[in-house]
Amino acid sequence: MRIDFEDWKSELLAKIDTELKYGSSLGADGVEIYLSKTNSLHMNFNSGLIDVKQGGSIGVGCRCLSNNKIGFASASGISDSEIKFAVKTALNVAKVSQIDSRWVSFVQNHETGKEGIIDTAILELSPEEVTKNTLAIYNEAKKVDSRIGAVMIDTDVSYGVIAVGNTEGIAKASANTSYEEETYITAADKGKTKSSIGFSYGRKVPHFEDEGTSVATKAINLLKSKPLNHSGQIKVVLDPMATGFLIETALSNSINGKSVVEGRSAFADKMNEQVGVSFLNIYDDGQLFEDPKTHSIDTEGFPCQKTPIIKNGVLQNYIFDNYYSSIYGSKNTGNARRRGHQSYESLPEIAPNPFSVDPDSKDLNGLVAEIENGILINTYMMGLHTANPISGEFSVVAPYVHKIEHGEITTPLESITVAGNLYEIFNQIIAVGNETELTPSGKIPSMAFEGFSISG
Amino acid sequence: MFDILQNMIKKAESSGADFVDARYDSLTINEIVKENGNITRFKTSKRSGIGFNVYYHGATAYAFSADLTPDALEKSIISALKLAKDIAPLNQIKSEIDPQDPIKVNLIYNLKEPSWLAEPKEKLDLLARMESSAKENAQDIASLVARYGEFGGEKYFTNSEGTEIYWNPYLIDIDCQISLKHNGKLLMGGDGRGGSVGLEYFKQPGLTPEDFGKNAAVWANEKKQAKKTPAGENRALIDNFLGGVLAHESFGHLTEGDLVISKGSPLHDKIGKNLASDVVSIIDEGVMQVTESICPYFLPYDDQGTKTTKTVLLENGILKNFLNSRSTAKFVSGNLTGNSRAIDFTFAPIPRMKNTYFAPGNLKSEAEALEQLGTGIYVINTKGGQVDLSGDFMFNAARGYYVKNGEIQYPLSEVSLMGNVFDFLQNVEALTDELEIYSGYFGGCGKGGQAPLPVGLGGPKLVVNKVRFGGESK
Repeated sequence: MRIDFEDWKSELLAKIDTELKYGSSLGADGVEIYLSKTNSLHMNFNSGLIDVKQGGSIGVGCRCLSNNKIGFASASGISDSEIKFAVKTALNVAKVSQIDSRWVSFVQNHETGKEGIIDTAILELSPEEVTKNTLAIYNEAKKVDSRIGAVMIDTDVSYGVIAVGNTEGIAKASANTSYEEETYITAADKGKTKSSIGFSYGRKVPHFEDEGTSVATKAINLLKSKPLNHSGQIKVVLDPMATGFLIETALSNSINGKSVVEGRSAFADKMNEQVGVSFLNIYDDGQLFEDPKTHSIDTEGFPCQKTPIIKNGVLQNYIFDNYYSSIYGSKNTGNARRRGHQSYESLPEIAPNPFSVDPDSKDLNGLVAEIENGILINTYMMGLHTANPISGEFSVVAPYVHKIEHGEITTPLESITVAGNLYEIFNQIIAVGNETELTPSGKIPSMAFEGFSISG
Repeated sequence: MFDILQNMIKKAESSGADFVDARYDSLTINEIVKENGNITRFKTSKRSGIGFNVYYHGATAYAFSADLTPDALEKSIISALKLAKDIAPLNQIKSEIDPQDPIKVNLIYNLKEPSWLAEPKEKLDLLARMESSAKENAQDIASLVARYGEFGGEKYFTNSEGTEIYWNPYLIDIDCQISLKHNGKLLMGGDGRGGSVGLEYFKQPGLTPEDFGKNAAVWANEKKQAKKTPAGENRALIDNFLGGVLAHESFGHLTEGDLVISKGSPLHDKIGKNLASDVVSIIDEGVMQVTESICPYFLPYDDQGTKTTKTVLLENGILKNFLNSRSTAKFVSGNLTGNSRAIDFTFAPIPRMKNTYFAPGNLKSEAEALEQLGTGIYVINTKGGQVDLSGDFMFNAARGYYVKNGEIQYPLSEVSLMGNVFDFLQNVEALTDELEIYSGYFGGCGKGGQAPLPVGLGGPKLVVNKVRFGGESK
């Protein structure tokens, strides 16, 4: 099926132009219309049981301003009647709302950032191909060992366009393509069950070389895991995925401009101060062209950009949308996001873009080689999102762990608990790796830390 | 609507479909969020669309459309049929169903004060009352969040057998979250209630917006006296809500038919086996009588047109049933339980829970439960957590108290508990004789990208031996 994103963009922008006029004719002081149109193919493969679905998600979200009061309404579908419903309802909601004395305006900036990679192969990908990729992973995994239990493979392929326009005169659109795949494999022996996870994440159709074999082998190896029988502070190395989740959790509240304005950010009084080791450079990267979340504009129509957050260990910027940047008196960083799989149902809120971290000089083995006695944590730590966002304290479980002895990765371990403070981790980094990977948190290298309390 | 859907079903059947389920879901969602007195979210959303689940030679495929024009619907159902035909030769586990007699159901809601008919002013007033009550009961407020959320709508279901079901789903939620500044730390407290009830529910003593605001303030305030949680194994008294979360998250998911068929669940071969101490029974139920303490989600039929049942998962420690869709019921030779659910028209139904709870036990009161606990930790509610398919769990409690010789001594600061649910269930000693069920618009269950799906959960209070608590970093 041939899809021309330029046609989609023109279609959405034409609707925005018409319906902004409709909003003004109803007497709104300002109108913003957000449209999104996405096609998706989802396949869930559960040890031989295949669930597949396909469809188009399409809808409108509208903010209306009336006497400095804001209302929002949304509707699935973008027919004239659905958009008119959203505009009219948003205006009615605004009329019964409160005056917002901090309101300034909708986005007025006419520039755009750059579009991410558009992979036309994704647009033409057939369900048969996705099924064949999936079965290849499954068959590989099953060959590894008779103790392999469940093999679950989840694939999400999508592409779409968002468009935003407002009565300040902007009208912009942006496209993206996305391929996400997750393989979850269990291994069971003598009443013990272990699991392992593999991911593919990007804007292109990935190559699945050895994914089934490698994830299955990891699960089998974990069957040999032993308890650590130790508690205390010990050096840890986190792979890119685990590092990404940790950085994202530590920064998503602390650099959020809204939390800063409202005094709920641990970094509220740390601007231009040293918050991490001097060799650390982290960016909120709205222009990471290989990441599926990247667009040329944010969901209010502001251009996306790459914003330095921590430079040489010093806090450089918070992230903002239009509303909070004007309250704080800072520049908008293009971080207005609308959450959920039907993004048009959500109001824009400040959220980080994918992060990127400047790589340093050693690969994962190099990081491990420096450590006499430590632990390697893969994939993620369970429950990190329950960390106290204000105090930063966390106490979580790491399920995929290996011991590091004399500079080498050795025995797999039973899950361990890891405790620390999210806002101290940047000072606890002892080394940053050189191999960045695209993870769901951004483009991230492995990192080594000291000072976490480990128990297991 | 039934005629439109049946027309499409006939088209797919004439092109080779073995069987078709068709749904039209239409929900209107209203949400108001106030932060520190300012309205930061005031919205109305309309979410309507049609979904088709098409069966072909043992394969099923789903397609959906928000565009309700006849052309778009035909394109959608034909694309589902094509998907199913594509997958059929590659499918390794056949998805088949046993025939059912068609039913016709037209179930109209029965509520005194349906929230979706109330004026916005009335909802803003509930929030204002909650805010003033919170402010009256706390000083040094750093942030005060008051939320109102609601949906109401219609669901139409029909299929190749000619079943026609119409009913109204609805859900409401009111809650208050407060944080206080104290010695450079922020102390948090929250309270609220949600379920398939009308606005009249919030007029009962103990369940008014004033009560929620006051509780949130008092519970945040008492943390000024909080001490560190003793790390390691402790005896624990688990409150009704957290018990329900454990029943749902770490046990219930493992009884879902899709995970049973794929052997992804460690319970796949455990029917009839002892998995818990003999005081433990766990139930999953679709329709429960609303009372002051029972505030469930109303789910009379699932998204495959099956009437929901009261499903006994564990009975006196023995595994009795799985939670099924029509196809998983056939595969495991189990009962139809009415657990095939989808969050909205953009998703195919998959096995999900209804209202999941521990059945009550024999302890007559909270005081008797504390006495049975002796010395340990009283853990209440949760701020979140994570589980996996091995039964491992980690939860962060909203509140905790240290208990010595049956007496509450002092509140605890950060309380996190972890372990494996099967050890936990074997270590349950006793349960109280009351039942509380909670549901809500804010929050819900996540699976297969479908979140938050409304569910209910709860139970009595549980006295449990040997629960592992996490330590703090300092």
